[in-house]
Amino acid sequence: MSGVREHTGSRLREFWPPALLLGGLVVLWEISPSFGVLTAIVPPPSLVLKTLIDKHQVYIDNLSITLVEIALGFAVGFVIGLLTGLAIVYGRVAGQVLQPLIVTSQAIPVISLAPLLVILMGFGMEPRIVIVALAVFFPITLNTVAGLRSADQETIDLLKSYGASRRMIFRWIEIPSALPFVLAGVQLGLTYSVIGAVVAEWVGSGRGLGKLMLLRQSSFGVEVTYAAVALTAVVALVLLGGVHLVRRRLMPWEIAGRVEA
Amino acid sequence: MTGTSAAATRESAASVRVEAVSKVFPGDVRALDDINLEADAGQFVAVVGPSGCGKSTLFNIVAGLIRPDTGRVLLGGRDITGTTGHCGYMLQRDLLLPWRTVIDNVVIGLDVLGVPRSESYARARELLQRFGLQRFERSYPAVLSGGMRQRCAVIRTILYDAPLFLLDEPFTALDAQTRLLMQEWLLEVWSTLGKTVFYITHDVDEAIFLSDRVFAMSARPGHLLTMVEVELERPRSHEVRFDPHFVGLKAQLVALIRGEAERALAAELT
Repeated sequence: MSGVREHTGSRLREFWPPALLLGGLVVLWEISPSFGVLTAIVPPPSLVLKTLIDKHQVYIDNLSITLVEIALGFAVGFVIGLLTGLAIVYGRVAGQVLQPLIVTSQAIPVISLAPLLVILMGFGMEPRIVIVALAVFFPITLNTVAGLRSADQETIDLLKSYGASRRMIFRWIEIPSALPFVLAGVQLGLTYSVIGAVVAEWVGSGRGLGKLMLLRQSSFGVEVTYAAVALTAVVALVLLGGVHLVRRRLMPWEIAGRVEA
Repeated sequence: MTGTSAAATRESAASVRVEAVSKVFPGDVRALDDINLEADAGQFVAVVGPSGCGKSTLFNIVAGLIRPDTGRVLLGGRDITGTTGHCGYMLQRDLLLPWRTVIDNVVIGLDVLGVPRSESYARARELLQRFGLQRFERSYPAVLSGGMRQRCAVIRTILYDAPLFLLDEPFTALDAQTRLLMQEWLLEVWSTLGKTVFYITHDVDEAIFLSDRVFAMSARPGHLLTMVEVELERPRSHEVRFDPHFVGLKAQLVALIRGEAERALAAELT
């Protein structure tokens, strides 16, 4: 018990120094106009907050568009990535054909395809969803492959010696072995998908948080760019926090190891 | 045998014969050469040899995970070559699944057999209680010490309740003191189960202490050097190590295996 309390105590101690630094920087930023910093270039946080509140409908509209792109793109990329990973590990031909192609093509920065996709698919949401899906696809595929292959051979042999079926080995050993890898892939994939959605919006027309960031498109002041960047950061943080919670739910043994070992 | 052990429900002990087993791996690696071993039902038999003598290959053949090129494995007179499901199998690593709690780990063999959890849990609880692990029933293996983890692996092996136990250096990774205690504990457990045991080790001392019969193997390609019967009273305590018969056997086996190890080393160096 005391061990647990100490643990929470140290967490709190770890929390304060970075929080104080961050708070200090925000305060400094807020009073920066009095040092002669131009509010037309660096609007203070209060101004950014004010536009967020005053024009909340604009932000909600654009935010929801970007969120839809991320959600659809991520779902497509995740499912296809997972299936491709399974095919590479369990399908002999698929492994030989796909793996070298995927490992190589992973080197291509997905975002550079955006202009091409706009030409191919028009100015709607579709090319953006494809960009997000592609960005998610690679880390999910590669981590699924690595995760499934990380299953311990001696443990598999143990179950085989008991007469276990292929299905039992898959369910009881290979899936749980792959889980931390796949979740790490999800984490990476979500980060990429936020980047992918926002940057893809810079190309072509339409709306979204990325679009809102581009000053020349907006009839408002520079604080709109700041507000859109802040919202994007919040989206990324919330998504990653969500993965963290899912991870704790799906892998309770990990916490057990960390706290008591 | 007290016969009331939690697990004695599937099959009782059976004799084991390994007949003329040979195995060559791809690349002309000759792992085993004409191996013959025999254990009577309920006997504790050890196989000692220098590392790389193909002991583990031999065990995988007995477990049915690898097919020998020639020869066969008989269990209670029945040919089981290349088939699984006859052996409780235990290695140096405990092989507990980190994502299963202690109780879910020890019943995994019964899960494979399709035994309902209500029944397997009841049997597991009895053994966990007996081996002082009941407090950890719902814990994950990560919180257990090395000795506790290996005890879980033993419970998993007992619960699977195969007629033959295959133990491949199960205590090698433990520290010396824990290891000696685990050996005595294993003998105590074994005496209540009456299973046939094949025990692999490179430690001559451990082999003699535990076994009724010790087979010594040569360096690769593994073949049999000798077989000795250990005529020491049971139950044995650690003092049996000072018995003249024990010391004599040890001197004989150590000399043989040392000679083999030197020969293997010389072969590697030339």
